[in-house]
Amino acid sequence: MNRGVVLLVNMSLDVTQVLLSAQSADGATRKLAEESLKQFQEQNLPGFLFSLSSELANEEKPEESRRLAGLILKNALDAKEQHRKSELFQRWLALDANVKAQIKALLLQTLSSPVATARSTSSQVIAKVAGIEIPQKQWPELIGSLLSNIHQVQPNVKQATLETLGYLCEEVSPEAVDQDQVNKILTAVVQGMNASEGNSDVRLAATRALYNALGFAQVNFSNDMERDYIMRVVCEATQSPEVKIRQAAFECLVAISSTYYDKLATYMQDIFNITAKAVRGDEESVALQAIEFWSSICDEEIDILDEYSSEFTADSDVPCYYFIKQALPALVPMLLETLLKQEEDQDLDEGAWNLAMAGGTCLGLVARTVGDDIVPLVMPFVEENITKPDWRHREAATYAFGSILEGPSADKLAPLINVALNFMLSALVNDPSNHVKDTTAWTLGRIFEFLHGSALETAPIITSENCQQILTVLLQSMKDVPNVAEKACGALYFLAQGYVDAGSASPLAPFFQDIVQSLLFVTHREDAGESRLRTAAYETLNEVVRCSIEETGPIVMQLVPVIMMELHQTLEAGKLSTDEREKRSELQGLLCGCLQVIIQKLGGMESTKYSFLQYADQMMELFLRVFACRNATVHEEAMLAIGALAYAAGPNFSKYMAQFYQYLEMGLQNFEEYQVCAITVGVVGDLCRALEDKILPFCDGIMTQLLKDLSSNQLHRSVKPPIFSCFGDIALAIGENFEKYLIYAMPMLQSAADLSAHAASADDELLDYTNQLRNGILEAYSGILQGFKSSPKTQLLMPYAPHILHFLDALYNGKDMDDTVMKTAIGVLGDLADTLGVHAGPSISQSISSKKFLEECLASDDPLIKESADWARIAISRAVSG
Amino acid sequence: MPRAPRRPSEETRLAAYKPGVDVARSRRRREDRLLAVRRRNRDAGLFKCRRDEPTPAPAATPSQADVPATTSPPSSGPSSPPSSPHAEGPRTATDPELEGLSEMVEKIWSEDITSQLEATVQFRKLLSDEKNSTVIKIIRADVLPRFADFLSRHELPQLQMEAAWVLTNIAASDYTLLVAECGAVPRLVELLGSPNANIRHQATWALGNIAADMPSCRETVLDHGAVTPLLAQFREDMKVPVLRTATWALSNLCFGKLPAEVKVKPILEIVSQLIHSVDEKILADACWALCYICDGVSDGIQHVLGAGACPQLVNLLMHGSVSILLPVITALARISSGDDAQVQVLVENGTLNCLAQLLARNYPKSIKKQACLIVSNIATSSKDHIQAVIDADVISPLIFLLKSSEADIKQEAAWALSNAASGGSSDQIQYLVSRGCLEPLCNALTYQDADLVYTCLEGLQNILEAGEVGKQGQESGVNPYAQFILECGCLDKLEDLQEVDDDTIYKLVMKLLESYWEEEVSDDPDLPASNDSAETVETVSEDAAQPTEPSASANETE
Repeated sequence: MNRGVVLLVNMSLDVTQVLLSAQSADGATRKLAEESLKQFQEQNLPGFLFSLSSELANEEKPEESRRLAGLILKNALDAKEQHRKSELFQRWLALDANVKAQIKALLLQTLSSPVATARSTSSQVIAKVAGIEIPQKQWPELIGSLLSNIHQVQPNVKQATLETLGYLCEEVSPEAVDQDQVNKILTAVVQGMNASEGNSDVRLAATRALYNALGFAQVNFSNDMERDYIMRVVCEATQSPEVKIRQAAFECLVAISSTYYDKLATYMQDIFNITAKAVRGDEESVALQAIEFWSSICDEEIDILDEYSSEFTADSDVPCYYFIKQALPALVPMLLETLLKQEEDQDLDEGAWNLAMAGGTCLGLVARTVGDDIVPLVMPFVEENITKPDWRHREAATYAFGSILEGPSADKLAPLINVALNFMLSALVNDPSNHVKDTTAWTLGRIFEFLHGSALETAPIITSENCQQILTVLLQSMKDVPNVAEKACGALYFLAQGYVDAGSASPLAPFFQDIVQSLLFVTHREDAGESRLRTAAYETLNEVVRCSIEETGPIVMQLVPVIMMELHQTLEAGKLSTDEREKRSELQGLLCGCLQVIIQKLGGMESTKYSFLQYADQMMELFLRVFACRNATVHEEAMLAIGALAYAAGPNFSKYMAQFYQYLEMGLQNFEEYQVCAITVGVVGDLCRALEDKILPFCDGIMTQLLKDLSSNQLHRSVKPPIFSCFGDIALAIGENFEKYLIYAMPMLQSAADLSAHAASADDELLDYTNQLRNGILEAYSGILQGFKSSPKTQLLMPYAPHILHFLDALYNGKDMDDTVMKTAIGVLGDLADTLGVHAGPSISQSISSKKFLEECLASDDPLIKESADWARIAISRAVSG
Repeated sequence: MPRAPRRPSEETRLAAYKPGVDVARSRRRREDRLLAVRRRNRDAGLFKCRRDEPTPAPAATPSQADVPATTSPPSSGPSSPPSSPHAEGPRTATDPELEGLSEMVEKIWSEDITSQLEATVQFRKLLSDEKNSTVIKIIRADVLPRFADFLSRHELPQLQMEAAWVLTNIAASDYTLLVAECGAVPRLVELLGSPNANIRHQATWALGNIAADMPSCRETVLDHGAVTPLLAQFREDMKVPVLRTATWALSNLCFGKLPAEVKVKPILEIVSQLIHSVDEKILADACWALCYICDGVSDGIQHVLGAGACPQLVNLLMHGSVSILLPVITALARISSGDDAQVQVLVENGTLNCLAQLLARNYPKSIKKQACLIVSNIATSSKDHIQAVIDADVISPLIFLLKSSEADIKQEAAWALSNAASGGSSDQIQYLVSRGCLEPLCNALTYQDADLVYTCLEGLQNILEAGEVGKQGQESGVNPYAQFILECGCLDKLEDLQEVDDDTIYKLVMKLLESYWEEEVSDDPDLPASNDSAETVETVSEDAAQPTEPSASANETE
């Protein structure tokens, strides 16, 4: 007798009733139902899953209970969070084979249900099961049995089956499916898309399925005949009478444009005609996808051209076919037409996305793709429309001009901007339309972003003469309606940024006080919450301060108490609603960020470095109070500010440690918000360098927490490399006092080193992480070795030397370390020799690292590697010769 | 090989539509910048350690039995030849890209004078592009001691000059400590006596850079007796740029605690002349030097006054530039924290008249706060000084500030006013009240600073006592001030203070309420009794600012 059935018999639960109750309007009923479902799942998983699939398959049951049964089933098979996901996978795989077979049979059976929701839910669940089983080579008959459904006459079975195939392609990776089966799936899907398919639901399901199946079609796209056929069917589907099918077909074209860019040459003329027709005449949802096709082609070509000009590769796997350049004379006019289709007040609606917006975005991408060639095609449109009485024309002209400012050369643009600048400045003040002013301010920002700054070789567009006028206009616009003011802030942001290297010649310096005052004024506007105005004002203030010059240091200094007072006030507020608390947190984050920039600025200049520290006490007091408000972003910002403050204060920072320590520890314990943890780890490093041996009294606590963090599998992995580096920082600060941590830290380092020595993965992302990990480990070794140098306890490190050398040799042999690791690794070799001296000499000279590795580094093109290697060579020669 | 489909979503396109200030990107960039600083500092720290030659590690003692026997004994000894052909020593970088550098290093170490000079000039030019990595390379090549040697080559002034220049540039980088410790400092001090003016200027500059870094660097410079020869630089015929450098270097040396053996008097003789300079840079640095000396030397304030600097400092209060005003007012604030006789000097020199004008103008907050602080310190000392404050008509601008300015200025102004009120005679009180101080004083009762609140209360107490005297002249027999407080609605603020967890404040408030407004409050049955929490609160109020302590403590070095 089969076990699943036994368990079922024992369950007296009325599944249908519970599932219905779980959707009840009454909270208590719902809660109770959810509880009993949860209990059922925990006590008897096979029974639970079986009951749900039976419910889903049972035509007698109400639609609502069937739908929810399917949904819960789906959630029992997959989760977003990786940890939980693999747990659910394992549980499913561990189930009794008979139970699984029964569940799967019920699911397939449901695909023929007359009830649409039951079919659709079932197809999603089937895809989830397939996602688990197919990579394990289980359920081999699935695709066959689905394909046999295709030949059934009933359109709803056909539709559900195509939908299932689509979901399946989304869940399963192409490598897990044999080419033979891929061919069959594609055949079925493309047949379903064909115009000869009379049922439009079937045709839509097939078109959507193709979207997901495209990733499987690599072999088929390499075959001219098959590709021609697929492309023809897709293009035909874009002409379907059903709008949904047309949209889905264009979505396929978009996906093809990025997946099979290099196979498109022969179809481009047809595709242009299709897209142009859609952009000009089809419904917006379809037209948007048609524009998206061209944006996507731009993305591809920008990437390829980037690789062409990159000094590392100077080539690309895929050649550039210059589709955009060829289409340019027809493409640009089509896009310019869309710009006139703005909606009123689209700038006030955050979620708005329409033809004009998509067209302008695409135009910007085209400009980046082709550079100078776009300018003569766009300028007549700008000149013709910029003075017309209808705001739509003026806005479209301005938007077109702003869109082409990135891409073409400064030589080409500068003369145009010299003419346009005055016009823009006057429009920003005088144009009656907010929409025009918004776009004008944005365009000015683009001018400053791309055509202003010391890096440009052309004659400067902004001179000391017109700078004052620009500032006057921008500061005035900052008093305009929020969306215009926000763009004006953005323009000021880039204007300031362009002067970052200007030194005392910065023409902003005389107006610095006015600029700061105006920005502060904006932050206090009652409507500063709209259009993200307040945030923009603070970020602009930060940039203005960051790019300011030494002479305006005293004004920045005056800003300190002002910002501190603002922060103070946020802490004084009484009881707040959730919404108000959120707003307060946002403001606190901005203020802490602002203080962070100010600290770095004032701490980095001779004239202000010391006088600024008069505020350190008050500032720390505020930061400590900020920590009491629970919010991750605010914590991060305050932590970063404290790190900056520690550098500025140096050893004097120790007076804050007693109070600050608890928050430091809290940060190190914050597994959930791992960015807080990561930033706190970094701040520990800052403190080590600022306090040096004064950090010692806190090291027991810090090391305990760091070791716990390393052992946790909950903590995001990205935090672990910085923790290792932090070991090095601590050891360097406290020297031989690190002794007591050796027995904990060294084994951790060793096992991490063993794990990371061989990445054995072609996955770029994983290799990148492995290299970060290696770098962290090596920095720890360097810090520890140098920390013990010249100490009588140096000998304590001798037992670890063989392993460290072994690690270095393994890295060299692995051949997959990056330049940073190479530099750090060869440094560690030197540190070994430097600290352990003659004792380690023989083992060092026997290592590969001291020969081939060192030689390779000495011959490196990278100056940092070479420097490290030079030093290592000297240290080794000392050690070897004693 | 086709790439994975990208499937750009509508959201990513929407995010790219007319982007303004990208907050997430700005944040990330801020963080990246901090990370870059961190990386640089970590490398610099490590590098500093690596620079230090290891002291020979002591042989393992028998007690270190826990060291496993795998340790290879140093059997090879000095006989084993270096395995690498490069390993002759630190000065033979032969790699292609470093070729230029290694050639320069070779020249530096050669015995040929022309080569030495040529290479030093090359180094100096290299350093002038201010890239740290260049500095690192040069320091890695172990050339610093060689440049230090060059400083002593009195027969070759040009070489001295160039070497001093190189060291100046390195000292301006993150690696000041290395310059301080390479043996260059005594030689630079010696060069202050060079017959060549350019060399003297360069040496001054280098020493200034070294002294500007951490305290240990400054101490090295002071230990080598730099002060006296530096003071000798100040001559009648000095050019302005040279004088600027020298003043700047001198102020750097004065920062922090000066060692006892350094004589302050000769420094002050020079500085008290420099504060008459017309050059703003010189003026600012000289004023900062005065500021530092007030703090960094025992009896610093007396020394500064003794040098006769006070009248000019007071004159400078009328200077238009904030960069001058800040050190001037900070120095005066330091002086105002001195004893009564020292404060008297400030008063005699007309500080208060200048402050009255200054407070009425629109200056940055830091300056206004210091100005209030000085007034408040003066008003603490004696009735005569309170009279001086009144005579200078500082009260009106103070009251204006109390009504109109930012909170922290208000606080300082409140201190000044409450100090005056709590120490004033009855005539003075009458004047203060007539200028309208009662209302702002009462408003100050709502501040968080317990000490300030207490002083305000003392001030009010003093005013109310004076009112008792006035009461006798009145037909109604009413204390006019108590009446005023009642009428302007400020009594509530006093009553609110009963809720404050501070025993001393509570007692004084109760005393005032019972003495002057018995009728108004006696019918309130809910008066809380002084409770246990008072003890815990007292520890808090200890940390609060003291009225007579200058708030600018930038130069407090332990």
